[in-house]
Amino acid sequence: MEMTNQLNYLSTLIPEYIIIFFLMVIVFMDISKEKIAAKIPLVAMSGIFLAIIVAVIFSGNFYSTEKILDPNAIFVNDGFAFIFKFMVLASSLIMIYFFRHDEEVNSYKGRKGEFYILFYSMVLGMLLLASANDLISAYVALEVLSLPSYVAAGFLKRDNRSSEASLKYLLFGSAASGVMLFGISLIMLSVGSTSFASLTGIGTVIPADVLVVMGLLFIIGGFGYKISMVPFHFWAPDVFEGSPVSVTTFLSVSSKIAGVAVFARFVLSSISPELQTAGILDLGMNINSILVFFSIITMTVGNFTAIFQTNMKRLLAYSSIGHIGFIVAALACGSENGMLAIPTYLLIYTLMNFGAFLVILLIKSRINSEDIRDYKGLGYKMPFLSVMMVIFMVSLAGLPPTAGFWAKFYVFTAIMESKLYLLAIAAIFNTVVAVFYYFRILKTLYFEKSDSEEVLPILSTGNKTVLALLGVPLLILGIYFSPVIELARETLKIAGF
Amino acid sequence: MVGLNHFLILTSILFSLGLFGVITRKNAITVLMGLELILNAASLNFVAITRFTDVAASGQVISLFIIVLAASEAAIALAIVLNLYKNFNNVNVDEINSLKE
Repeated sequence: MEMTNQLNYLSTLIPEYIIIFFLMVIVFMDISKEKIAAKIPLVAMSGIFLAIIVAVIFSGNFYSTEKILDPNAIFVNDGFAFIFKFMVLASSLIMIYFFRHDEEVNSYKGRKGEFYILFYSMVLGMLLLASANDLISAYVALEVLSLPSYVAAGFLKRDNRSSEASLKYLLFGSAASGVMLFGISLIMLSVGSTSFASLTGIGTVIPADVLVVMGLLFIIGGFGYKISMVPFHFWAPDVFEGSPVSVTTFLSVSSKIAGVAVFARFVLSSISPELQTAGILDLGMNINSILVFFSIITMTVGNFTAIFQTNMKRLLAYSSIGHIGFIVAALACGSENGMLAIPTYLLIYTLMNFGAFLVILLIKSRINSEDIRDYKGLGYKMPFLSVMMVIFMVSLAGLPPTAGFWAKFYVFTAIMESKLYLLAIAAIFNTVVAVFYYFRILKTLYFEKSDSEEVLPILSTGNKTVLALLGVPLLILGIYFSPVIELARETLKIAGF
Repeated sequence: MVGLNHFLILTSILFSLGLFGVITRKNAITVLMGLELILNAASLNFVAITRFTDVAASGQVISLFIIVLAASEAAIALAIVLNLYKNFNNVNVDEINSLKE
């Protein structure tokens, strides 16, 4: 490779360099005087902000020919990676607001720096995951993301539930990634390379080679654990319930965005291009039918188990499993519309899940409970918070006039276009079930009488502003959705999908 | 003459033993040992594949990556298990179940 080419290649990871630099700055701030260490959240915020700006500025260059130049590069920065990186960074920026209001995390006073170091390592892993274009770099990025996640889940050292969540996450996560690594070695044996570019077509020749089938299943298992796809989801409810609320939010939103990014890239690489453009899939033994199967069981298990939950965090864990089912459904189509639906869905998913978790966090800091039964009558005690909760729940259920409806609508469009009728029926059925349990929460908020008469502390203006910033876009996009879909189409077109 | 197949059979046995250990063992430390077996099976696989076939990727480099990641994973895992022992006074995976439906 020429010198200019190498420089060009190194420049694909500029947002990551910024994150690494700020990570080191935070480490040094943490070990210096207390006065300096108190500034860590501010520095962390400006680091993420700078990374977003740089990612946007440099995105223009990356759109050009990067991917065509060298399909074997281990990291690429095309439009597809950019759209996911942007979502990861933007959600990380909101996360810093969450951390400042999470009393569980803040109760460990001297360990604030440690928390931000873990947070930054996770962000670094997510960014790398979004641009990984090789099975080995995807594996390394997955570990860079997972290792700090295990520690962050167990951040409340003296809390039994938090340390248990950490152990479960650790054992399940490392088993899944170890199995995935073995799968990668099998794929390398049969394909001769670990690059995504060399995987073309292996998803469609499944009956031919038992090594490829095993390798594919093992790798799907590794990615499936990261996005908590059934049957690799067993860690999710326990980890989500045990970890501090802010860590739960980060794991359920940002880390899944990155996981979906790399999973989508892997699936797209393994489908042969002719099949992709044809748009019609024959449902023999290929990666699409495997994904259709996983998608159906993922939504069904997620939504049906959510009905019986009483802990809000656990309920949202199962509901997010249901949402992942929809995203995998869009991925199973493998068509252009399916690709369009994934970032759109994730964007809306980010907004509404952040909103729902912020409401849970604020309620927890007031009534010290995450149990739905303790939410009785809150609709009259905290009117603003509850109205916001209504917006988020209606959107999560996927009903108009919120943006959640459009997110599901585009998935349905893609499914119908690919003529996957069984999947469409399962998806409609699951939407109905989802409406049931989201509305049960709203019923508790408004139609059940509160046990106590105590007056709860009111929300600060800052809290209201952030809630409104998450909730109002959902309503506006619910009515006027075309800008989002146009933006997604533009970005993906440049990426060459 | 030792060929690729010998290595593949060996790594399959290692992998199966590791997975078996992860699934059946109750002590968290033993589960971690099973995980190490899985990682080492994969690592050996990469080196053997590079040695006996003409693949583009270099398995030796990949196995170095794996060793580094396995080491950091073990460090983090032991720290988590140690903290767990302080809270629960045992490291038996079956008995640590305060998170339930």
